[in-house]
Amino acid sequence: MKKNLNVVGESVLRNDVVEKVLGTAKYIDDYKFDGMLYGFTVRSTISHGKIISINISKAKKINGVVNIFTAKDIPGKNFFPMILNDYPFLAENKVLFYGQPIALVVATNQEIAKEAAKNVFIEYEELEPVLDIHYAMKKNSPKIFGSDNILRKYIIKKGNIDQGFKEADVIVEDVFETNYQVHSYLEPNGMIAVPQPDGGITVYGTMQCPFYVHDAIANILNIYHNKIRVVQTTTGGGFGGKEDVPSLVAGHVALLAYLTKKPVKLVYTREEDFHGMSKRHPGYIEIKYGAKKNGKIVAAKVRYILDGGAFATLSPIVLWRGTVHAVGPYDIPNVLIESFAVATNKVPCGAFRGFGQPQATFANESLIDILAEKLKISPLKLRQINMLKPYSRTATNDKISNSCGFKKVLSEVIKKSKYEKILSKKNENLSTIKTGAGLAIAFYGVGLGAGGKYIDRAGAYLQIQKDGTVIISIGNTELGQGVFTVISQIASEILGAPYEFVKVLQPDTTRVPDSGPTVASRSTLMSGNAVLDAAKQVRERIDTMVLKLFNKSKGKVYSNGKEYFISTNPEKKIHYLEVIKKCFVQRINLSATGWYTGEDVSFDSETGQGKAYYSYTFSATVAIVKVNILTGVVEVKKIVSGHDIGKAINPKLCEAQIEGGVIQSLGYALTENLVLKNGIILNPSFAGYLIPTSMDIPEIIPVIVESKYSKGPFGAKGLGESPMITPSTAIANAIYNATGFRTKKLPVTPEILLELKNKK
Amino acid sequence: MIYYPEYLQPKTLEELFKELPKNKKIYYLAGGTDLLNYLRDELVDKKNSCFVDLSKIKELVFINETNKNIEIGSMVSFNILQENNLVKKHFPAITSMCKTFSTPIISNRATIGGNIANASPSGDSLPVLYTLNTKIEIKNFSQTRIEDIDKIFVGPKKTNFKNGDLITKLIIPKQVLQKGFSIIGIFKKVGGRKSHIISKASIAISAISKSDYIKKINVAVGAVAPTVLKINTISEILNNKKLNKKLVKDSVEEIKKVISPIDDFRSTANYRKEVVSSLFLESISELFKFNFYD
Repeated sequence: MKKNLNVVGESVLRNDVVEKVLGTAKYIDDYKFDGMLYGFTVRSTISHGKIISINISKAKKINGVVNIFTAKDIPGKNFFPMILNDYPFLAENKVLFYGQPIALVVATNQEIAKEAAKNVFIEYEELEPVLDIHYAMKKNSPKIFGSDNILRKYIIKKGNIDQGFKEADVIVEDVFETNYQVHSYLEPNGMIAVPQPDGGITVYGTMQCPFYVHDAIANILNIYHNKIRVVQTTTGGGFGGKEDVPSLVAGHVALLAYLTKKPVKLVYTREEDFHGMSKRHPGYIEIKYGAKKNGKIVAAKVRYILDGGAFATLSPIVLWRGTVHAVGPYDIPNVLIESFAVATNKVPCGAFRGFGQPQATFANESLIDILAEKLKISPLKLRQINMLKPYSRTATNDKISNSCGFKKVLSEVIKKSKYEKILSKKNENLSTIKTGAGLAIAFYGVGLGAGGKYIDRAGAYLQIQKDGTVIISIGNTELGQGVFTVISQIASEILGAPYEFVKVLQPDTTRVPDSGPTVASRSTLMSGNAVLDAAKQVRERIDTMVLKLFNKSKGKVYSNGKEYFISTNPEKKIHYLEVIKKCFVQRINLSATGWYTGEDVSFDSETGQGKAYYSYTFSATVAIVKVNILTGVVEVKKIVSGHDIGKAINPKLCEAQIEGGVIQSLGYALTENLVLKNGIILNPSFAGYLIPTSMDIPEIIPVIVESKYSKGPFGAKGLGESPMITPSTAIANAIYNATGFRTKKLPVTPEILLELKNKK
Repeated sequence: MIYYPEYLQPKTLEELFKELPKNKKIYYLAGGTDLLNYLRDELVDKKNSCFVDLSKIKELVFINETNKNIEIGSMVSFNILQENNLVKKHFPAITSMCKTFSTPIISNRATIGGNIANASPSGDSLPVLYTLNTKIEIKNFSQTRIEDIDKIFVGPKKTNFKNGDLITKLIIPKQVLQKGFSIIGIFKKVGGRKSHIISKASIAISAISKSDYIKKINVAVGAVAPTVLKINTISEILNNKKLNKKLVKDSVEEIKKVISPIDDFRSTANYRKEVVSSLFLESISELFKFNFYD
């Protein structure tokens, strides 16, 4: 078959690869401005208490200290805008978690600023900290949020839950828990603010969501949006950790620059980033399935609780996504889901790749294996019986569209992993190393869905320059995921311009309208469509010129990626550059703005029913593990992870996304264990908090399935988060298959495994 | 005020002891893989300290064979140690340990002397050096003394060293082998991931054996007590014996008797207690190519 796309679907070289590999890319700490000062944050050293006094006199005397500011110096509003607006930029009279910002030091260098911060003395009246979600929800616990410590709750009711369980032949239920996860981006959070002559301010920094930062600065400084410019610098990873909390960093640094009238840099140490920045929520999940003897699940009940930490930040919306997906990717007629995000005196949790789904998936994909064993049906078969397919209904009663390659994803992953063969293989009794296979599947609503409907839009600006090169601005950010490359491919394809000619500019809030956040696996879809819109307008004008050059009044114009031709005379071609030159001479506008809004979605807050998302991706992962039952050490040998993403604009980038997600999920499953005592993180460094090294990474086989979404650019849905959702649970299921130890906690540490072994 | 430690970079030992300040706490900077972290984490009294950088002192980098011993300079890095043929031939446990030591990057900088001076109960080289009856040469100004390695540690990260004491070399006795006998050795550890990791528990075994007959064996464990422990009672049980399951089981009991592991963020006392026995069983099984697990 003749290929009808030139560059979309090709694994072209990433357009940011050279500077990143050579080390010439500039991250925020590489920037310097004339006369720049340095900030450092004074943080709470207790988990819960009243601030009695703040003594800055000793710190202020240190040579090189320019000033020290507290909440009373804030000219605007003392909270950063995010859903419940409860998180103050600087604590006023109480602190709710260890590490909460209280004051800001600004000095002539970072070392002095840090030293001065240590010499700011805060007197507290300590209060009993609320550290446990169950205690937080009790009547007699101290209340740190509202009257019940509940940041947000949801309910989803579908069918008749009691009737459903009555009809069931077999019922299984269990409780699962997951720990924190730290984003572990290579580049810690940091910003530079530069005051402008007009009283405005420009902020540069590492971030996912420049428009959130924009709002935050307007809030803290009480100045108009048109005096604020936010520029994203090359960003060393985000994974959700740079979604909301960079607003805090930016607010702080903007305040310092505004008050001192000097450029100020505020870059966090790794320890500060651990203590102060967001984390994946610890999850607590009670889950129950009821099934007929033939395997058909007829009822599912979930009680899902997230530990939100001291402030709401993104907890409501993380909880919402988790809730919508909580019974798993299954067509179940009777569902009851109740969910809560609960306030505790610990670091506020927020967005993290997967966004409330990995926790819930651990519960439902573990329980489905437990159910399979009880029904004496294979875990694969049980999933095949119940999994979503076109026209089946989710827990919110959302109808699955034709864009559902779930069946193919599962069959490919099963085939490539030899899952069934390994699953049924008996381990030798004498051997201390046991092999096992595990499976987990999931669906993922692409984009913000009904939970973020009103900010689900994206803008773009595109311009072909005199020499034929193209510049594009989008509102989404490059975090390493490769969105600039994907956007360039889409523009190149539509325009007929060579891929190498296209450049995506540094994201800047003055270039395109608020395009929402760079989250929820939405950038390819949203910015992709916005660029598609802009590029199509320009291409129309190009086509008119091409027809004119061919002396035709109408007809369809084609491109082979560098030349244009028409179907009636495909041999005759005109080079792209020639057409562009003609357009310029004839004063044709080769620029356009693009816009895209997501399809309509809905969610009824009373029943939890509605079209939660406009499209879903589907995934399946098989993990093969070896477990040393003497030491409890798990070695993952192989992971096959498949994803229906609609269309892979750049297959190699997609494979890399899958590999990265698998590795992050492996860390979540096995090695990454944040330890807190009295609300204080005990291992706030990479020496204590262990992300996988290259030695821990198994063979990874990524599988891509393309079941096109009609509204997506070239059919694409989204990929960023899907690979993070299933691997950890596939690993836990594989450990069970290998050893017979069912782990109900993530991470599965060797300590837990030996405990289970000793109980047996 | 911000203070910095005083910094010296002598080229010879003679120069070092000539310049060494007497009124400051001396920190010898070897590979820096621990010390620089302590500096960053504010565990060093910067105002009253002096960092003495040893990296230019060539006379501390050597591995020599004498009549009775192998002598290893304290500034020998783990990478050099791992590649050295004398070490491979005489002390297989050292080579085994080097293979699991941190990462290639850290191994390039980290030194054997630094690992000893840091005195961590989870220091990977220590159990191995215990099993080899290593002696440590320590210099301070004009004085030189030699101590057994198991005598210098008094607690976690604590030695009996006086200010200015510098480890200059390790003296490890070579074993005299009768015909048919060979020297075997192994080091095993368990940590939170496969590499670049601080041990939750570790074990070293060095032995002279012929098939399953043990002439002499030394076992030491790490990270399960305030200091590394050499378990002499195991030597008593196994020396001059043909190995069997009963003896191995008795040996495990001896480990359990002497260790006193703790709970910390890395692991639990219970786990450490169990896993160090597992490591012993795995090591013995691997060394003697027989399954002693059950």
